[in-house]
Amino acid sequence: MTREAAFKKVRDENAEAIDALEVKAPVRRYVQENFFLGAAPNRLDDATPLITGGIIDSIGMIGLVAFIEEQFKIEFLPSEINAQGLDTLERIEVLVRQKLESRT
Amino acid sequence: MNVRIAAAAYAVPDESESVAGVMERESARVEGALAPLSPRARQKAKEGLGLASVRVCGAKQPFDLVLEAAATALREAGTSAQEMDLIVDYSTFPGDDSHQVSFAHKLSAELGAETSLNISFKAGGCAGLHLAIKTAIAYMSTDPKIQTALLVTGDTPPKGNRTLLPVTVQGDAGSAMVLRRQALGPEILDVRVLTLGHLHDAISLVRTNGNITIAVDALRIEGAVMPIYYLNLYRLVQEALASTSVKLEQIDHFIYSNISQRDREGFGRILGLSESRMPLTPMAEYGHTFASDLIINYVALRREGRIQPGQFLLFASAGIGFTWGVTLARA
Repeated sequence: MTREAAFKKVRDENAEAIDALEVKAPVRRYVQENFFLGAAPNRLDDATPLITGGIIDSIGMIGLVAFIEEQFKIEFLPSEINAQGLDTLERIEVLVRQKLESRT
Repeated sequence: MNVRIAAAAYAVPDESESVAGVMERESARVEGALAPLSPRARQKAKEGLGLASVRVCGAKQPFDLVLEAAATALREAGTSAQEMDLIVDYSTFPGDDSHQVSFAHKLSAELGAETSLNISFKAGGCAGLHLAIKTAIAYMSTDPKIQTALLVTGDTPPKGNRTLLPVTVQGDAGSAMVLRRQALGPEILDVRVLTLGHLHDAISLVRTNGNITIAVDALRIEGAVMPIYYLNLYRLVQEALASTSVKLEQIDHFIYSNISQRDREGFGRILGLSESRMPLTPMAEYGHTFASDLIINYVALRREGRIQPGQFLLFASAGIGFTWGVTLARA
């Protein structure tokens, strides 16, 4: 196998692993456990606005970002963290996958 | 590098105005700024400020306050203006009638520090002190001839612009800090500053009918700044602690700005500070004074004799830019 082919194989394997990674479920559990405080958990669908909807406040952001970084072994740059990118489970998934893919 | 805070001082105008009076006088500005917010957010914006009154420039203007504070700081540092190698002016709102190129140059002349290197920048707002310390340390670390630096800020908002809701109400003050190598005083261990330029217009200066006004974009503040406000402060604190191998529990004094009571409570919450560890502040008397807040609060601690040798001090604030800053020092 050539060097380029070996690199491609690793990249493909990483891409498959990222595709298979479950992102929304653990974040959903974290949000439900830490921010819903007994409210009906089925309120939280993939498009529920977490930040603009007032579920997570500016202090809660610290825990959310720390959880995502720890859970997915990624590190956000300050410029990558904003209310839009982290506002829903859908967007969090996009952001996490982008971060993971940028490492491959 | 052993750069220490040799002295710090502030000066405030004699005149004062109640915050309720300011809000009443600027009611149209307040309502205009808060108009884009929901009724609940509008109400919340006016609550929890914890500011009773602010000092307002009258006979003394910001430069007069800076001059007074600088003279006091030099005296307390046991040094003279002739020994000043660097003067950094970081005033954000030096006043409508300030005609000089910079306070640093005029101060150099007025104090008789003829050979000092003088620089001036307008950035950082309440976090300007960290930028100034970092700037001074950068100069000091690259030029061994720079032994002593004087950092000053003097601020008053343009007329009719004291309310910066949903954030705060602005008072006036001038302050000075003397940094010196091999001096007595808290040693600067680390300075962390973060600026996110895309938020530059959350609070900005605009010209309206020929007058400069401070425009506060309440939606940007609530929707873009606040969600990351404490996060960035928290991360900078963690970075400063990690880089110096100091633990949060070891910090003896937290020196935070006087933007509002609710903001100070937020700072306490992110660091898990109990009531007894909350930062001391004379904010009820002076209100919020931009970057001078940190100097005022530091001087208050010193005057009460609370700072003991070996103790750790953590200065933290955030402001226009948008800018976040943390400075760690050991007395």
